[in-house]
Amino acid sequence: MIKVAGQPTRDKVFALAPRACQSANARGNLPFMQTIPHRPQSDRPVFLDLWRIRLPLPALVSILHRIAGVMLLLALPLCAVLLDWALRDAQGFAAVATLLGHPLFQPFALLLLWALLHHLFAGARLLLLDLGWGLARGEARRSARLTLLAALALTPPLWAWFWLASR
Amino acid sequence: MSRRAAGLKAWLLQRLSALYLALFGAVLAVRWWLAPPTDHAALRAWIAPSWVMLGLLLCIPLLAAHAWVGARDVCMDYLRPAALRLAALTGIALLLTGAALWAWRALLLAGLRV
Repeated sequence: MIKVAGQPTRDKVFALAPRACQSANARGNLPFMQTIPHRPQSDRPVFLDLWRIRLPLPALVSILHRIAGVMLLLALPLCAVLLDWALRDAQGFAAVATLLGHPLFQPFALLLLWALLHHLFAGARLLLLDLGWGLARGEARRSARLTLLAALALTPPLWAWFWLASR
Repeated sequence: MSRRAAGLKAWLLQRLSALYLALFGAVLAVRWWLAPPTDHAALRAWIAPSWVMLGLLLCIPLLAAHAWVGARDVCMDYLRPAALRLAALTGIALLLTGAALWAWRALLLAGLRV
């Protein structure tokens, strides 16, 4: 049995909950922040042991959507340079092919491919949610689970296909 | 840029660019899957059709705009104090502008040399 952490004092709680977190909370990325009392008089118990708070599945998919987006953003300059090399001449194409086929690059290839798939699927899910589809809690959880698993399941076969097709 | 890419307009831009990128990206992925170009000449021929070239040239500013709206949201939500946020946003703006111009130039030069 794990010992429950002691209750933080009210001052500590407000130090832990800057406005940045509250705006993310409004989008459902940090749902545990809902346990923070908004009225200073409140003496409700507060539990902010981050390692023991379990994110609901839709929140996990949402925060991974953001993380994947940032990963893809950081990869864009590399993509632009590789596109330039590959289109420039035969030597450039060969250099890009060597880099993309290098064993040391494969962990990054897998990570970026997962990021692309997760961002795509989670984004499609958000568009459907915007249209009012699947808003009920059960459906939202099922579609979140599908998004998470589909991206994870499709990453290895797609990577393997790229690997084989480029040999 | 940040003043204009805010609120409902940014939300709409993010959704519409997402739709275009997903659909055009899927078309390109299928086309690549059917016949992956294995050398430089094949790659040049692969991007030569005008619908591919124009589609890619449109992709780049839309991708940059999509990434900017998302990155701006992320920075506003998680980065504090304001100086850190401003520095990050400046860096991202430079990174996106540079990458977009670089990719545009690469595509245009490849198109002109066909």
